[in-house]
Amino acid sequence: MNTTTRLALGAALLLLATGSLAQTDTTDDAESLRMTALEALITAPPARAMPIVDKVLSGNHSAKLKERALFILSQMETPESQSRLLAFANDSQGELQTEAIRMIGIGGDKDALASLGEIYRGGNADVRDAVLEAYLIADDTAAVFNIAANTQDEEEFSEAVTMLGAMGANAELRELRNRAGLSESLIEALAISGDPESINELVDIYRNAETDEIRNSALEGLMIAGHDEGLLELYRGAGSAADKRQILQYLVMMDSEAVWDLIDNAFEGTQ
Amino acid sequence: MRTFKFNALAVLGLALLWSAPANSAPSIDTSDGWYKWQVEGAATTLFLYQENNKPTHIRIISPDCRITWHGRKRINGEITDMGTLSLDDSVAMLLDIVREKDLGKDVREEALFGLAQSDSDTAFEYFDQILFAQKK
Repeated sequence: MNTTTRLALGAALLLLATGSLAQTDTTDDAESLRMTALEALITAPPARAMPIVDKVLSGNHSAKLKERALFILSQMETPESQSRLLAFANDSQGELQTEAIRMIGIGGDKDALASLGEIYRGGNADVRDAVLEAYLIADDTAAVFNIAANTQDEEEFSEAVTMLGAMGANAELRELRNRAGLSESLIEALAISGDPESINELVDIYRNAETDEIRNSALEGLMIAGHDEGLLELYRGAGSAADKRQILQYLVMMDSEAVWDLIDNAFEGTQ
Repeated sequence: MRTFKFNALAVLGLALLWSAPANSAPSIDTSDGWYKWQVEGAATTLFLYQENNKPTHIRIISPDCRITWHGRKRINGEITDMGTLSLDDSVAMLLDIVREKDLGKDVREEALFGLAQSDSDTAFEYFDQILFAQKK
């Protein structure tokens, strides 16, 4: 290839490169302007904003823009906007559906939240997760309790109970314990809930456990809750060397200062 | 000769008509600082901060304004009161700001939020245009 040809080719490539960059900038600017325009509609009168948001949702737009449109819908607080959101939660699929479900949680409309129960029952794992998240966002502990109380599926129960723990729903967790007895997921949820009374109770759950699973779950719960005092208490009262070793392992995993007290005391011959 | 003069005036008139921008926005004084005006027929006051003859901040005070003030430029110092402007003029000013690509992104966004709060057909036609114009 001679110099002239190489220069011509180089110039052509440069032209193509800068041309495509300029195009990208313009496209990004346009998308950014579209996004801001959509976000601005949050301050618009709902009657003005609704037809535009509706058109975005039914049009050929990016998923990101549609997700933002769902958020605007959730903030409108009109019966039309809630019913549109619910229609998306019911009829759409994939990310748009789960996002619509979450947005119902953010909007917090009681009727729309109540309708999520049916969507949960008919949905796949992603939909069920999104419904639980919506209830978490809306702090609807009663709805999550209903799911946990009425399911026969162990995994569903476990997920609902874990969510109750994250919501700090101690009364609901106690009620479930009274109804269904202790389970590993319930013990974990009690630990996650951060309720001091429930966490202290884990010590007794360990002591009175009838199975190894429950006993191990109680130790894990104490570790999750960071309750090294409770583990130390159990260590001191442990009946066998194997139990002591297991409890000590949890204290080590917690990186607890209490381990050093035990080591110091062991050297002094007091433990 | 008279016909020639008439034709020349007609051409000049048409030329002037074409050159005048439709719905041209009212102009603001060139001095730096805050300007404010009341939107006619609405309980809304617009505040506009100008620096080097360019708008840099817009604040809209209305009964149902939901914009937070945290971390944003405060309205203080001397404020030039421009009295009352019509909704059409206010919308035209905000549209000019949104369309001016040389201005800062923040002020253009603030202008868009201002347009969304107006009850103006022109403003919402513009939203329609931004969101649904054919993508190139």
